[in-house]
Amino acid sequence: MSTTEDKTRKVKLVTSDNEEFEVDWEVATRSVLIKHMLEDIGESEEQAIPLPNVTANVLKKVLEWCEHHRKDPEPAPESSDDNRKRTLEIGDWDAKFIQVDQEMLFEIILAANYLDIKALLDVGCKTVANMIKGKQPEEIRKMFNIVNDFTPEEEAQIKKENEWAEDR
Amino acid sequence: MAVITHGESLETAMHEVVSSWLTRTDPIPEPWKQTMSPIVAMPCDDVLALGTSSCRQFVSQSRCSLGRLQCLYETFNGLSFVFAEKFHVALENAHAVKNMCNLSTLPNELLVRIFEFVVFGDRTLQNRWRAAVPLSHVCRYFRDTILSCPVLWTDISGNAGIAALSLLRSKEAPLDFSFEIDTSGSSLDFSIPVRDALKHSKRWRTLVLRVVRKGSRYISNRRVPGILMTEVIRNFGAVDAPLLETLDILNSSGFALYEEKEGFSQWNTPNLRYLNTVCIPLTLRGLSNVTHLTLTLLLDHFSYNIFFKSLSHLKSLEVLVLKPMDAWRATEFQEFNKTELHVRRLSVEMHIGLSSIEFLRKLFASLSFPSAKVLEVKIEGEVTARYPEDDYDDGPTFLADKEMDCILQHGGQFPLVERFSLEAYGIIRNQSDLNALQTDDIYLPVPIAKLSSLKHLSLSSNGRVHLSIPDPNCSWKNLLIEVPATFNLPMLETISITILTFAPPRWFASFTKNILRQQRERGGWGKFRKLVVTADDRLTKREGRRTTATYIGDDAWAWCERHEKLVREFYPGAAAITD
Repeated sequence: MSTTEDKTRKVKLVTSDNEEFEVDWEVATRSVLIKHMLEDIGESEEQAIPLPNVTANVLKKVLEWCEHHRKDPEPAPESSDDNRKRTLEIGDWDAKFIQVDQEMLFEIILAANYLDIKALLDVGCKTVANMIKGKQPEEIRKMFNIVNDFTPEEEAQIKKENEWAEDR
Repeated sequence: MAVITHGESLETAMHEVVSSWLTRTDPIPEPWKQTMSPIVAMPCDDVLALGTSSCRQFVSQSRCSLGRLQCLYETFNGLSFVFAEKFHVALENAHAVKNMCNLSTLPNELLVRIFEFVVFGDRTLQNRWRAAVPLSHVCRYFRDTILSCPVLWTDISGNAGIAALSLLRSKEAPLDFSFEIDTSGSSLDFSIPVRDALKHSKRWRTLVLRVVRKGSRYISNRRVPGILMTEVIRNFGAVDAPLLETLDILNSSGFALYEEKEGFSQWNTPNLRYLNTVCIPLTLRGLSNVTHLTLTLLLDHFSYNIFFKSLSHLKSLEVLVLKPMDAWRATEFQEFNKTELHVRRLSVEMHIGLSSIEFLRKLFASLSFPSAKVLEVKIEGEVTARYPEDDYDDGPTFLADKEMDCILQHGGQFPLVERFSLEAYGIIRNQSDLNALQTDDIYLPVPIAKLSSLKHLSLSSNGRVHLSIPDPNCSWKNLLIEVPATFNLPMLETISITILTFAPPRWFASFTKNILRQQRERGGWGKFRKLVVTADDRLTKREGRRTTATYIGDDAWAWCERHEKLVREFYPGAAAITD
């Protein structure tokens, strides 16, 4: 639970390329990783939090998301049953936010995973899922520049699976 | 080597052009300029004075220039075309190579998360394995990844082959089983062998029994005109399904489906919470734990009796979704005892113009919902397009007064309802239905005067909906467009409006303003918190959008005033509706 004092507090973050960001506590603690680190270092305001896995241009983008979602409720803890509730829908603001080049999209996913920002991670994963959804294996291979590396035996099994899948 | 003119080679010419372009951004090399300058027009006397040789020289010079430029133009054009092609291939490759590198940096658990969204998130898929199977056919890495996730293979549906494959891959994960049971033959035909399914009954989480008729002949070899649920259940024998949460019994066979004595008595389903059925299995022991019941209720004496009998078993019921439907057999009216149903939420989904509407009235006259906090009503129907020559005396095609009057009969029925959601949709099957939605009207009474505890009102439609408040003091159906201040409406905290496809915002704005004005005049303006407007035109426009805006206090009033002034039928688009 955050206190009024927490909300006015500033947090310093240092990226892998040594750029320093000063942000509101409420914004920074959208990241569970940062929240736990802040809890560990206690009241020491001057101490900057090092983020060795995030570059400045990616952190800037991540903080933009955190700023917009600073008032969102804490996400519920994950359970395996949640799978059936998954959707591919992305809110208006998030959809605009994630319209970035693919390199940045994957960087955001990795950063969200590292910083433990579940809602942002889901926005990124949904975006990639929407790119994959409905595509045939050959189209997915083309999309990721990968080849079909199955052995003839595996190919035979795949053929059988396709027959079952097509049989109505 | 290609020659352009006067022994000049194409290679030399191109070299000179490229050098000139790179050094001076001028494609014409300096030495060419004199011979390549256009020959200017001159007075006729001067032309005559030129003489034959000078004229021939001019012609030769312009031909030479033309030949050189044509040759260069065709060569550079060809080159440009080839380079454009190469460029596009390289661009695509660069894109794919980036993806390839991105994929290599993605930890396996994130790829799994993406797969979970593809498999579970795509609601357009009939079966989840239709997304999982193609992913397992991309490459070894994808196959190994998806096969290591049992939860992605828990949809056991389709045919025996794919069901066996999914069962194998699902390892120990809870299963969502779906059987299709064909009634066309003399015996029932199950899409998945029951004995295979029974081996895994301890893992069943969801069970769907969908009774269908695949054969084209209406009358099959069956001896009886109905299907006994017992006949379906007999194939299962004793079932031990301790994890089963959801049971769906759906029937599109054309036969009536009913339960005989002891039909489900051998089933152990202590964890059952959700039941979606056309026929309540009265002997199911888990019935007392069901919290959510979705019932397609045939409006006949038989189905009513079963429904009322089931109420004493449904001790934990919190949410009741009723889908009334006309029964195929005629039946006599019957009085039922007054019954209190202690559900938290009641939803009614119905089609307009049921012939057995009086039967439904009897049902709701006997039921009261003293604990319900949420009431949801969804009405669908045909909206027939009218033309100027049509006779209007027949009244509108979509008038939901009887339906609303039937569900909400008096103020004591839903004394605690705080949230009321009312949806009215014209059915869209084709372009002519879409056209009808733009030209004809939906008339929808909003009987909030009968909901004394109401705080939150939601309205949604996809057509030209005329909203009005029925006067509860009037024996005949007086629909009030203007609500008098003396009228005892509940004080609302929020109003939510969802405008789909072509619904003109004017009608919503005008109705909302009337309610807000009344609330203001009665001193309740301070209680009103917000108006939430959602507009969604994705169904009818390729570039359509879903947008939502929230208007607090006076901004809500201003939204109503702005949109009330619009022309009656004007639909400004989703973005404009939410400003």
